[in-house]
Amino acid sequence: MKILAVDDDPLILDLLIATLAANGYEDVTTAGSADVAAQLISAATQPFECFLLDVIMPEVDGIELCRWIRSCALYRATPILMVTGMSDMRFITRAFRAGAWDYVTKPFEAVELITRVRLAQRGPEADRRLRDTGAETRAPKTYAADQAAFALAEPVALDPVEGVIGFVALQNYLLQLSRGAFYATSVLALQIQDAEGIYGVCAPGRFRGLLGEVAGATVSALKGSDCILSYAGNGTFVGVLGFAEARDFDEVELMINLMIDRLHLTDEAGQPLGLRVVVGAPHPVGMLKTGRVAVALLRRAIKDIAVSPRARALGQGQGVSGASVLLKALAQVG
Amino acid sequence: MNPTAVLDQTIDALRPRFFEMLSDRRAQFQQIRARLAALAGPQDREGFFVGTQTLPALLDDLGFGAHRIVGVAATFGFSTLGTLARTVERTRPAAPTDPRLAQLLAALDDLLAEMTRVLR
Repeated sequence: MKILAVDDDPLILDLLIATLAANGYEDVTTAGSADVAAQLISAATQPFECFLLDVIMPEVDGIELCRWIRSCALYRATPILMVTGMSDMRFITRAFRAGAWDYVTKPFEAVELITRVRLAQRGPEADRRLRDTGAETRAPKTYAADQAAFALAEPVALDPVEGVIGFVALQNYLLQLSRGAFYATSVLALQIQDAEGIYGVCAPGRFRGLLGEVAGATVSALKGSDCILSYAGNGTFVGVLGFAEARDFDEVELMINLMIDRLHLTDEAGQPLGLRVVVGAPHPVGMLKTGRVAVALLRRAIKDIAVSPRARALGQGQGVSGASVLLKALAQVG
Repeated sequence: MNPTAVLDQTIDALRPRFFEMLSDRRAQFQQIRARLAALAGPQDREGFFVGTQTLPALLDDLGFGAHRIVGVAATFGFSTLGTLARTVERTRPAAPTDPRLAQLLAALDDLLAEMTRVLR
């Protein structure tokens, strides 16, 4: 695996090289700054397969570098591990929102680092396939021949959107947070209605493009909630957000659907898709809970919305709220 | 040779560089400590500038140096050193009159003592 390690401390770089080499990872390139890293990335004839980034570096920090790497089409799904002494929640959240795949706290244990690099190497199979095809630079309309590129159930990587990360990365993020960080944190799921039907009439590239549009609309609708969103497969998204109790989720659902409606999304034959999103009930994680509990809640949110997509509106007695009436009217017009 | 043995051998090879870095940091921290102590004294409490540096710039230098120690100390077998460095890194008085300045000086004294012990 071809790795690029970036840290302004030469001692750390040597420790990383030694740790990786002792465990069979010998193709390691190093950079002492984000600037040098960007030059190496741009000049690479063979793409890097994994990045290890320090956070605190002079001039451009590791999180900005992470964001830049993620914006490169070739590296949309490549694992980026932050290797840093910064263990505050705000740094962790910033890093994952910028597209980090995992987070290793310095001083790193060799076993932990290697385990995480191995997990990164294994990676989500769909992500790797996407990366290997080089398909990411093509527009959705040219994807017709890629009908078998990914299954509906795969948590496929989407085009870069700030705050949208891979499904495994989202779980890594939750596992990194300390107990106190869950005080005002909730997880929730969203589902595209009749995702299977839409998947059936779209080439995979178009379907992935639609997922990207839904992700972008959802992040916009949840602006101000520090939402980190991920696609979990089967037309379902999961999000981690703060202070969910302050949000009206009927309104959020309406906003997402209004934004999607304005895009006039169509299938391969140019027929309107009528794509609609249902937002599930938020599940508060609660103070003193562990990251594992949060991950379990995430899975429960996915299961709940698969079983009963309308549970939030009905359960909260908000099925006839102003927002819902508007949504129904919108559906009829559409 | 198994991976752990290979890694231990490499860490041993890097150890002199770690001590060299630590020695440089100790000299730097001693200078910073003297400047901070002058700020904490009754005669200079009004001062925001320490020599040619502002307090925030001085704290940035101290925090950056401590951060470097945090990142590697435990790997070289000095976890107490790393813990003390983290305390220094996280203690940041906003002004010379901030009570955290006294806390920082105390934490810095503990760190300097540990650095001396490790370097001995």
